[in-house]
Amino acid sequence: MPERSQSLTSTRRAFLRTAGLAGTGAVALSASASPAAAQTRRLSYAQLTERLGQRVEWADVDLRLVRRITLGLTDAEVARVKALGFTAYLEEQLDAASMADDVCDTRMAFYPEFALSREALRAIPQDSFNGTYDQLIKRAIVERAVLSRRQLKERMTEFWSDHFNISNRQDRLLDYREVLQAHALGNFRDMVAASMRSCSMLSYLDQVWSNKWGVNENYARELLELHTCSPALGYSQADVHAFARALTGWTVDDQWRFQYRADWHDFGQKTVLGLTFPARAEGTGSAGMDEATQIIDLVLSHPATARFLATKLLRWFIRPDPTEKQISSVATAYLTTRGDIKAMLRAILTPYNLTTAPAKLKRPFHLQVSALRASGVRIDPFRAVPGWESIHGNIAGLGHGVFEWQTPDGYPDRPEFWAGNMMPRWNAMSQMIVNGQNVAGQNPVWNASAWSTDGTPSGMVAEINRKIFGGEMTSALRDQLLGSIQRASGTTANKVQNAVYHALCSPEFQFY
Amino acid sequence: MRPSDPHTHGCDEFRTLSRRSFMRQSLPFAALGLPSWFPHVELATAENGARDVLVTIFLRGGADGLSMVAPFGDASYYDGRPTIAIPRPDSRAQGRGLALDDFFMLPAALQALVPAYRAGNLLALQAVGQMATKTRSHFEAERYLEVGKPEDLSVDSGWVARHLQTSAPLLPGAPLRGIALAGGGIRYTLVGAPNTLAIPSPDNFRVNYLPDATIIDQMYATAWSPVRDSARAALATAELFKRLAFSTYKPDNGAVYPTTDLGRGLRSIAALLKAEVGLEAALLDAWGWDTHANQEPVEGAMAQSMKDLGDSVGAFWTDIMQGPLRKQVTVIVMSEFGRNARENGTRGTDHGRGGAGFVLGAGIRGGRVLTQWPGLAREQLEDGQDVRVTIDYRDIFAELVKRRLGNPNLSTIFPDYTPREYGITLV
Repeated sequence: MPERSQSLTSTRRAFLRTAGLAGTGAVALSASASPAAAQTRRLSYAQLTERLGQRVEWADVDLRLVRRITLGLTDAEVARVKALGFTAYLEEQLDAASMADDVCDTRMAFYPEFALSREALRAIPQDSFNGTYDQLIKRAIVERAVLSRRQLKERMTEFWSDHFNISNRQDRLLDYREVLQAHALGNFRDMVAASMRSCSMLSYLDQVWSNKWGVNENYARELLELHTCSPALGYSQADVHAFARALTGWTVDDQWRFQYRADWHDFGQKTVLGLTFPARAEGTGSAGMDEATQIIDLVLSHPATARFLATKLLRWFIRPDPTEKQISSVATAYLTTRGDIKAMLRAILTPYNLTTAPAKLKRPFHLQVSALRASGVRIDPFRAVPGWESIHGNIAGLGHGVFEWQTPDGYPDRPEFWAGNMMPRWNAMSQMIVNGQNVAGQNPVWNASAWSTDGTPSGMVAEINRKIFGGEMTSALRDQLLGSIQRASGTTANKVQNAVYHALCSPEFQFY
Repeated sequence: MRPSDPHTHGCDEFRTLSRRSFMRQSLPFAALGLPSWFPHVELATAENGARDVLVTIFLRGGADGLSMVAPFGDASYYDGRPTIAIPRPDSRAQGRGLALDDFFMLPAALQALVPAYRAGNLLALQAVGQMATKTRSHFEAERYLEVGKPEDLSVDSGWVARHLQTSAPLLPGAPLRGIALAGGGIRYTLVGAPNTLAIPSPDNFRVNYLPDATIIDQMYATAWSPVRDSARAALATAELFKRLAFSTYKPDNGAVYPTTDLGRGLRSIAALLKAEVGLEAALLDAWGWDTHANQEPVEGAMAQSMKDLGDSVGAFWTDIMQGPLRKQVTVIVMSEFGRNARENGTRGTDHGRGGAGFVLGAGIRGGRVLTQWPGLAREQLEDGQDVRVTIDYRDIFAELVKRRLGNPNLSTIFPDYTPREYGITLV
């Protein structure tokens, strides 16, 4: 943290020179009264994040791993990593399919909406889907994130949900299960292939309408720009248009299933990224479908795709400004394994990368889920309580509702986007702590003795430190919480409630 | 009083502070030192109230300029758009356009903008866009427009943010200089702006539970500066908003805002302006402009989006620009790019280049269409498919910054760019 300058002179100009006006856009490393003489270096926002976000000293590399690959520390998660050690814990998380997940599975029985078949989902009238089914599906997704032991898979599903974003649609659940969850820790090529056959995706990006009589470029463009190679590959508008022509015929039937229609396909000559497809006679069956698959195969093998994914995943897990060395290591993992997501994650989640990772601001979904996990508050999804619409409503109120980002780029993963929104976070925490207490009634979190084994303020803070911060709370926060408890009047339960609330509102808890 | 203390900040007391004493104490927004590219800043020092508040409305998705400021005088317009053209003003068709001059028209959906246009307060922009990039990506184009420098990813603060950074506060000590009314976050236009918050609805912006304000203050005093500043500005703003009754706000001159996000947003902005709390910049986003299929600009999807835009902006004009604040507000309506001149096979349009926009204000030389119309015949189009960009948005923005916002620091706000003036302002 820079010290505030105590040597301000009295003129405004002097103030401007020494203190600078820009808090954020760019800063110089050394403050000087003479800018011309100053040794200055441009700092990007990302670098600034690192300098100022490093405040929290989290020494334990095992816990750093847990913070990054889960949606928040819990007693159980800390115990698990300590029992298994760094590598075995990571491998267990990577091998999510082999993990028993009884608690989550049992809970999901309360949400049959999440398991609806394609036919059953399609049979629901849109009016009853909206506001009822969709809310329960979103709550189920929040509950999964809280309860599932397969935390890395949940984190990856969240990542892919932004990468292959689709805004609210009745058929999105199918995409969520069959594309995002199914391939979250699988192979990226399989995931793209599944996405290219997703009714929800093809409908959302207008591909279902595109045919030889009327080409629609929307999906072709986003498939290149957002899903695979990014503009870094250097494709042209002509490439996008020709790719859209190659994709004509990729559509869906009225049962929400993928369908290729050769009679809609444009069999004329086209050149995409240097691949030329000569004009040919119109065909039937899957004739012409190979054009788009060949193109996407080329794109998926291209280093631009490897680097784009590597950079985005490094930003997700490690830092806003990954180094060339980090990017190239992860991109190499992608290329040598032909798209194995686990291989990329192993290259990303190294002890060194985690140790040097600057603290990252939680997005609201992450904040709410981690608060539920740390505090142990559980919400009855069926009991209505005034002022407590639902746990998902809390997240949506912070501008981060599940499936509610409208454009195909997905929610931003940039701290500067989310930083202008602190106070609503505190309200979300009090919703959970104060109203959640009413909901849960006998909820163990508000059993004061669970948070204050010896009944003293320092005992309360020690318990908060253990349960919420994995034992790595800063001494400054410890002193602040102690002071607050000592200032407070009221019952022990009330003091515990407020202390937990303050801990969840702390800047330390906003980062991971 | 310590201005950085949120609980004594944001009320009448701070108005009595001299600007200097405020600035000397309000270091939170000024961080580490002077950036190297920031060498010769002249703090904009227009007298209080003599500088416009800037309201930017971003039409996200690439709004089809040929439906918003439609060139009925260009025969190629109708050739390229057999199913989605706005009918000529002199036709007998349902939903015919409203002539702006002998060549351009507004669609019927934007009818509510006509009074402002007739009063000379509304300037329509056509064939406007970004000359220095040819990107057809929404996300690149939006970013470039918002940071004020295309194709340079090292610029990551917004042009409006840099205007605020290089201006003395209109109202010394104001807790809220910029507001983003959209969703949960701050988009590029305002990234890096001092005392700027994302507030989806000002009428319920408050701390619901504050058993111990002291610890909140203590905890955030040493936090990462954007988080700390956001926390402090939020507490002070919540304190300020307690004194404003948004729900009972009554617009002037019988203005009626739509009950849409945009309408409610502009209504809140109007309330804040009249309360004179020192707000200087607002960003509102409007959605639904990426009309690849079933565009329906006459009756249907895009017509509804345009009606929302027109009715909201029209109400704002009626409410604000016929009263005492009329010469203190400028509104800009923009989009990241326009769309193809010809419709696609799905009664929509794909991503294009030049588009349309609007500037609204009593200090604007409006009542006309500003354009260097490039024509829609195939050989006149860019790459044979798009309206050429003939006016760079930065020229429009820069002229407003200089003439209406009283800020001379154009090289900081629009790095490496020499803007030209089109004479769009009255002063």
